[in-house]
Amino acid sequence: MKFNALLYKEIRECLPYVIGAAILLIAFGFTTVQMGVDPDTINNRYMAFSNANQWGWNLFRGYFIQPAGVSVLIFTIALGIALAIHQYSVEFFVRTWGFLLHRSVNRGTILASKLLAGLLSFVPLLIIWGLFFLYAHNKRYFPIPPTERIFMEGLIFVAFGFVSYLAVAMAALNKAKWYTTKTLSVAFGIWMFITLAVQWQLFWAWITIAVATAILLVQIIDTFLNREFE
Amino acid sequence: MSEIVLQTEGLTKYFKDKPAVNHMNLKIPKGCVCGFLGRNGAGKTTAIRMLMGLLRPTDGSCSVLGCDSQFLSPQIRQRIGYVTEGHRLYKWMKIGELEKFQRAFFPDQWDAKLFNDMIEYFELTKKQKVKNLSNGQRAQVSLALTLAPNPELLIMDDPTLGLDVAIRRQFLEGVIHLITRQNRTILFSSHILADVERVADRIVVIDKGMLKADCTMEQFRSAIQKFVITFDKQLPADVNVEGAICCRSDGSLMEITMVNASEKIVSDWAKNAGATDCKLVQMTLEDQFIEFTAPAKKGKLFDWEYN
Amino acid sequence: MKTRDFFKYIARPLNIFILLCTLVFIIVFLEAISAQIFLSLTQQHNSPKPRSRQWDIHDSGKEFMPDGRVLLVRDEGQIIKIYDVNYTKLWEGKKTDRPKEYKSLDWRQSFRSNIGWQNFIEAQRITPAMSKALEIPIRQDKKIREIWRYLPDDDIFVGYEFKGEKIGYIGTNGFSQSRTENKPFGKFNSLFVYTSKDSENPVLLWQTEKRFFAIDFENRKTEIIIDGGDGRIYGIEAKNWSYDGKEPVDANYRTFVKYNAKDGNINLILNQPDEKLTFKTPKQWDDYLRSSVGITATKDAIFLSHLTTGILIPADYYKSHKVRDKFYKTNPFNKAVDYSTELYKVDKAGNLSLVNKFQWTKPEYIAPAQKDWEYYFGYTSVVSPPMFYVGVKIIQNSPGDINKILPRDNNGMMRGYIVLITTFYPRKLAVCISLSVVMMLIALWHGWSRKNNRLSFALWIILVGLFNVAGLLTYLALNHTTLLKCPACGKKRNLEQPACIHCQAALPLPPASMVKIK
Repeated sequence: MKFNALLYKEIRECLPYVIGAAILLIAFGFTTVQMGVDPDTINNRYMAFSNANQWGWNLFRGYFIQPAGVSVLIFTIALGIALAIHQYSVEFFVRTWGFLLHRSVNRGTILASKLLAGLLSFVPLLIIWGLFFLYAHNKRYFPIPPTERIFMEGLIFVAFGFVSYLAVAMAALNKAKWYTTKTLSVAFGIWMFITLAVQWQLFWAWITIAVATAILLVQIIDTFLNREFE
Repeated sequence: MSEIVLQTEGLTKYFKDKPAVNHMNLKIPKGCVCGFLGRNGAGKTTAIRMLMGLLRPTDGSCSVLGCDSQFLSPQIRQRIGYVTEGHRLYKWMKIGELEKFQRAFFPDQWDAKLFNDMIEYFELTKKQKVKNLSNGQRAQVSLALTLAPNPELLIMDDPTLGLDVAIRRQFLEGVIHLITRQNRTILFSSHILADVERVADRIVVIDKGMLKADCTMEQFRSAIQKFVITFDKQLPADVNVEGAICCRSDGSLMEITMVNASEKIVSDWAKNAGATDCKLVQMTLEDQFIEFTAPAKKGKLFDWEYN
Repeated sequence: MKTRDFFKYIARPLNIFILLCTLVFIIVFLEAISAQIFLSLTQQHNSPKPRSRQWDIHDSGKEFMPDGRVLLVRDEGQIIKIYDVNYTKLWEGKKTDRPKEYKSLDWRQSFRSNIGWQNFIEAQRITPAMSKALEIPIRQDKKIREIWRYLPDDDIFVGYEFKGEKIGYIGTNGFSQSRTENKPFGKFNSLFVYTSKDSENPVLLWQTEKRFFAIDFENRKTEIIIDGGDGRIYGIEAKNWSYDGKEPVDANYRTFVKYNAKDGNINLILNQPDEKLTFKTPKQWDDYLRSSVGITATKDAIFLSHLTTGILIPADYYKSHKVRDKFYKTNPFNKAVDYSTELYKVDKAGNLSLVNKFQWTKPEYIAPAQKDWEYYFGYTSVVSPPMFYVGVKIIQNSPGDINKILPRDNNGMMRGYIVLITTFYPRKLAVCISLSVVMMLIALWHGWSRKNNRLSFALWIILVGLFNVAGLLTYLALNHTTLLKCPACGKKRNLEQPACIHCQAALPLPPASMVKIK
């Protein structure tokens, strides 16, 4: 009951950001995907080659659903940053940590409610991506359906949104000065993004996400449990 | 001897190289209403935060209801009501939502009737959002939320900060209501001595992080005395009376504030110094507090105007 | 152990690791920038000198005519100039107007843009814009009929009717209805694309480690052109397979595929007429630096060109990085170098017969006296961790080259880190170690009054020594605490410890003279 109350409070706080991100993702993603399946665009994509001179690298093309996938990456990272700032930094500005930490639960429970609420906030974006993926099977608009791999890539993007949430949360909780190690976790998040960017196998991409999540989670738990709240 | 609910031993907290709390040894017995007084930056909030486990002491220890403050269990926290400085609550919540949130942590001890009565008394409704409440109304909601679980121990950090006279009185009446319940202990910090005098039966004074007084109100009131001594000849250069903490002279009159000194010692000294008269004057709690916590170097605020 | 202590023991080393890596990257980045800045500030610009005839000959392209004559060709963009071996001008004009009598043998590969392993990986990168698909559209009567897509995880192609149902799969076995009936192609190596005269649809020439396939999607079949068996095939070139819409393929040339096999033989698979040929080049050709071979086939003969320098390769050149470094430090190509280019005919038995040979000498090149990037980098790299030097020694002395340490299909990060270490290792080791020692002394001075635990402090000092400036910054960021003057002994003491580490006195008490009421 206590955990449910905390979780409800956190989810309620995250809700405006989640709704905003979902609406933007649907609008932006749908518009850009539809632009890509315009009959003239499809024609140019497949009919533009008239002789062997033009084959080659042109044979590699982004999937039709790719603009939606890029939108997923952008909006999950933005959502992660916004959520982390709201859940952790804003509590410092409005000075509600004292009220929250005096709940009759362990600190770990309070942190767990925040992290779970953060994690659940990405589920709607995941569902929207799934809907985009199913929509891309519509033969009326799309010449051929996407592969399962593309769905997994979108999943990786959503997972990275959670990593960015953890990175910013850690920076918010870190007591160090901004010019020392306060933004170290954000630098780590950027490093993990670069590592992810060079991956071409799904297995190593997931390993990168798992390692980044594990490291950041350990850091956050340690900081939150041992931190002083002035 | 009554049970000790709040205890500190050598409690010390440094921020950088300055002690905010310096070797504080405090014992608050059960059932008392304790006013926690100090000037700005004396260390009251720091001490309270260490008691609540929000800050870690540099040295020493503190315990609440027999439990080390650094490891307050959920069960102990359920017995403590804590009002933070400024009554910080979640602005997006309605009063009704705050009630549900708070109630979840006190499933067995929540007094719904008390909460409803207090909200009604303060002329508030449960549909109001916190962000639309004034400072005073927020303080009232905070008090209602804290009192409704019937806490055994109530710790309030400057609860009347920024409130007007009428709201402060309402707030204190709420506190008095709690006092009438058996064996509740209240610790509250304040700058407003009149409020402290109204409700507190015990007083703790902290100055520059150091504990200066930990006694009953009567003991404090009787320990600090002011004497006005009249001299017809030259005033003595030195005031070497044991217990003198403050001395002012104006013409032929000398005011001496004494701590833990008897009237006889002062009058004997005055007589020996050539005084013609020595009178004990009434002091308000505010006067006593100011004299007791006055800095060692005595100067006027706008000294340069007189030079 | 309490939960919070458990996480503290894991979080602390992770914190050190992350901060250290971040600082190493930042320092490495700043080193590279500094060296480049110094270089650009001190760059000298040479005034152009008049070129000698020897330089003109060296800079010209050497082209063989089918009869063995040598032409020297200067390519100046749109205009080309053709000379004989004595550098007497024979013709000058636009490339497109080149006369037939000066049309030399064509050695070019047909495929303008073959796709290699690196391109393949690039296409499959997940972020930031998702992977790309290899899609082959099949057209009929100027309409798209089918689309075939490569599935990288299954290593076969799947086909769909345009806006319709799935057709099936194409793999090693050719076409099949189900995925399980078909075999994957094998480890991808490179991809060529061509279109025949009779069709508007492409055929993929798909090279794996051991096989070379021709995948015809229009006819839904797969042909194995080369089967290397258990051995790898490499060095594939294909000639005249494409139909170029602008320039028809020269009918005098035969279509062929050339590949090298594990045994060192060169294999040719020729068309028009179909035949296979295997031969070897003389072993002594490999003893000279920059020896290269080109092959072309006309209707009349199969030609082989051999270009080489007169510089003998030192022993162990291919085995030892040190030997290569030492060799190139002598700037062998700044001296006068003898070159030769030869034309051979290859008969049906695989014997080579010399048709003609042209030799020339590249004059000595006197480089302007200016410092290069390495010079400045030698100084800026002294802030790198000394560990990098150790890492470089380990990598250089390991058996084989870096491609054998890291398998081809690694995820790229490990390769990147190795490149980082081998590029940014400290050149002036003595200065680097001296700097490390200074950093250790600074850390020692900083931490002497702050140390909680001797072992932990000793490990920190070692870390600072190993990682130089990055180590010191990490140490300071994670260990800086406030010091307080101890009232008992007057020395600086750590605030986080209850007792002074010098005299064991506790934190200063409030003044005894303070007035109290109790």
